[in-house]
Amino acid sequence: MEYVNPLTGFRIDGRRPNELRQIKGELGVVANADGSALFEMGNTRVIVAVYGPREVQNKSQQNNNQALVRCEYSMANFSTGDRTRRQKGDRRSTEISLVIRQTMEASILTHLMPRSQIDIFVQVLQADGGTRSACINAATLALADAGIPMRDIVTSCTAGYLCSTPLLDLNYVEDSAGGPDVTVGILSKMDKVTLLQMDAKLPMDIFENVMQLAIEGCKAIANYIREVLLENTKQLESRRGG
Amino acid sequence: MVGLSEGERRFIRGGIAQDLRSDGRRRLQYCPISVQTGVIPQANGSARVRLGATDVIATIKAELGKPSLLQPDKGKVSIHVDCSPTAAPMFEGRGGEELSSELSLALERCLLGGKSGAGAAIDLSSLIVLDGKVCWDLYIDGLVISSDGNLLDTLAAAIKVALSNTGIPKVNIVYDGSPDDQPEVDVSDEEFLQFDTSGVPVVITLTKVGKHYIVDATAEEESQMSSAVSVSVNRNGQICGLIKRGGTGLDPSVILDMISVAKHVSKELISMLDSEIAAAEASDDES
Repeated sequence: MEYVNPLTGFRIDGRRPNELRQIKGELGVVANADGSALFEMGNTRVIVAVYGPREVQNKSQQNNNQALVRCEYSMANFSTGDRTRRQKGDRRSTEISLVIRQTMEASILTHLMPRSQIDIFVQVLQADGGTRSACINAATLALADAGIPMRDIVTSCTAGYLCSTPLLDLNYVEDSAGGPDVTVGILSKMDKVTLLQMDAKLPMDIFENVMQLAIEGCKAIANYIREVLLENTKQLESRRGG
Repeated sequence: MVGLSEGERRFIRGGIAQDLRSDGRRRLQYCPISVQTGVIPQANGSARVRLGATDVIATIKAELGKPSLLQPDKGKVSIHVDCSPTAAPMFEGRGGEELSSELSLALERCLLGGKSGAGAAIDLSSLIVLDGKVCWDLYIDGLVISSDGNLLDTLAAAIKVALSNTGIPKVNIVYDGSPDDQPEVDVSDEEFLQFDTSGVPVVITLTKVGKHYIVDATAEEESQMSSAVSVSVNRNGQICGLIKRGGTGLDPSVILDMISVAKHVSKELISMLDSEIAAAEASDDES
């Protein structure tokens, strides 16, 4: 199948190879949570709610030097094209929960909140490729909404290689094409990679190009997230009468 | 939810007794309701309903299947509710399962009628494609994103709106061979049949706190309840289902009184939902 049109260079959804899907971020969508955010990347929509820092529920896991970060990833029954009853705790969910937790833990200043627990709950409403990236971006916004101190803004993006072209931000169709899928998560200002996953195989030099493209995508998302947070702070300031 | 102090509890109970609740509402007044349709484009129909701080999404997905042997002329409907951990930390892992099953069964009771399928709010015969061979299976999924009490009412309202937004594709039977063969069907991409939702009921939950009943309780108010009765009422004022929750016993005359109050309140809720559905459809047509 023609993922990149050889004449025009457009992908199947009309984007150019180095173009991100339309992204949208919104803060404060779950009223009860300490912090929450909705993040959309194209048709992928994810809600993240953060509860914490709060008292550790399971005392045996309590850490006297730093906060305990927990994450749970769940997909709604209607999130994919065919409606499937999802079992909680299946392997993919467990793996993605672990990935998100480790990525966010690298950024949260856990030593400032010893003996406490921070819960990150991720709910996928629509899945159309790049779900774990959307989850990490949403988690960054939600943690900021909750006022939890972080080292840096963590963003994530995917990139692939189809029809001899590096492609940024794969959607579900491109992801299922069987080509390589590289997911990168970075700490934007510090320019450090915190998450790197890939499946299928790539020659080394092409891998460098694809990874670089994904990092560019992450930086673009980080700029957008910064704007969203700035806008939110201005609104808070105006409500406070400042 | 953080525990309530004795002073807060008295404040809530006293307010309800004086017809002035903590957020300024009267006893039988609903929170502002906000409705969006078509929020999940992959589903045949979907809706997001916000009632105060409670936020739920309902989707309807239709797939072709085989009718059951006992009722070969009817389609099948199943309702499943999921409480997302985003709504409350206690829903993580399997913590939300008990509440999810309770809500799913309550909604099935209100919307799907008895075991024989009689009295269902959704006309199951309209879901049949070919008697005994092919029918539509409707999967109704509810997802609770944010919870501040009154989940059952909000879910029922979301399902009602989602059904009004649902389009079932038209099916043409291409080849009908011998009685044992599965016929081939051609599912149209263009023509859709809109669902008739005039018979779908709403659920009104009346929470009894002290001597008075309130409608649309918040989580705080629900923690003070002695018992609650959920009544499912349709457009014609007929009762489609009844559930009593809570340990305290109620005098039968009190229950009858609650049912008549629910019928009275249902008219207001149904008209509010109808106007929201019409507004949502109008904005859909414009865009």
